[in-house]
Amino acid sequence: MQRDRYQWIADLRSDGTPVQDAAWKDLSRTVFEVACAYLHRRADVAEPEIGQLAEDAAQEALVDILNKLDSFRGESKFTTWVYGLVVNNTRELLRKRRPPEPYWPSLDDDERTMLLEVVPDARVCDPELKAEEDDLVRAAQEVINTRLTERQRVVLLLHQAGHSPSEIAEQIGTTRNNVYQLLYVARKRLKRELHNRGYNVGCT
Amino acid sequence: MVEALLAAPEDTLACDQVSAQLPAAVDAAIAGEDINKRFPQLVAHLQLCDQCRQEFEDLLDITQMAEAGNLPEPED
Repeated sequence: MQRDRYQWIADLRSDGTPVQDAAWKDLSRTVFEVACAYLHRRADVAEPEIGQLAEDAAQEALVDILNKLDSFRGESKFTTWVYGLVVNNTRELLRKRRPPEPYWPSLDDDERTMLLEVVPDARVCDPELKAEEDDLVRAAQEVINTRLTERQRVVLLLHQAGHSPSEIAEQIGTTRNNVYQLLYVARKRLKRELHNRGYNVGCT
Repeated sequence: MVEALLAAPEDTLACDQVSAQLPAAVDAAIAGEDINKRFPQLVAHLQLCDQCRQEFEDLLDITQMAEAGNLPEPED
């Protein structure tokens, strides 16, 4: 049966009716098929595993869809929104299968020392402005080294060194979203601490 | 140097914001719309973030398969 996005929502919410039963049956079948299709694409999944993994992923996805049904805003087709949740849940299931990465997989002691003692280049030529900038930089360095957590410090300095949030997340064994949050908190604290020390770095 | 530390990353969308927009962007792409115009920040993020780009490509392929009726039949 073909349903548009509004029909899907209406049918899934018609509590205790055959219409709701039919909608959940169609949805369950689709969710399982999408999980299978995604698993077939993954080079790290063997063919014999697909059936069981797809069942597990489909169960997780159906719970997720049920929990998030009220948040569907109709900006996309309902089916596309469902496919996205199924793919995300299947991907998460596969991620949990992998052993956790070590905390600092790619930084040895020398690299960590270098990052923690980074000395910035002062590009200002005017001697008076250079002195002011040197002062600000020393203050920033002191805040970074003493007022941020180690994780905030490393994320901030890796980003400053040109690493993307994805690369940083992989390097320190966390998610990209966590990297964005760590950057946000680290910058906010740096601004506040510099502001409290009398430096004009914008509002906190 | 301090300004660079305080500045936000070039892509102004965070990954969870991108994930929320992916279904609409995929539908638009399949319908032949120019997603660079309709979702410029999302497209900019996808150019920088490998993981989100992979999520977009996976969802696009899966949705195209589903709409063409090419999803694998489950074994009974």
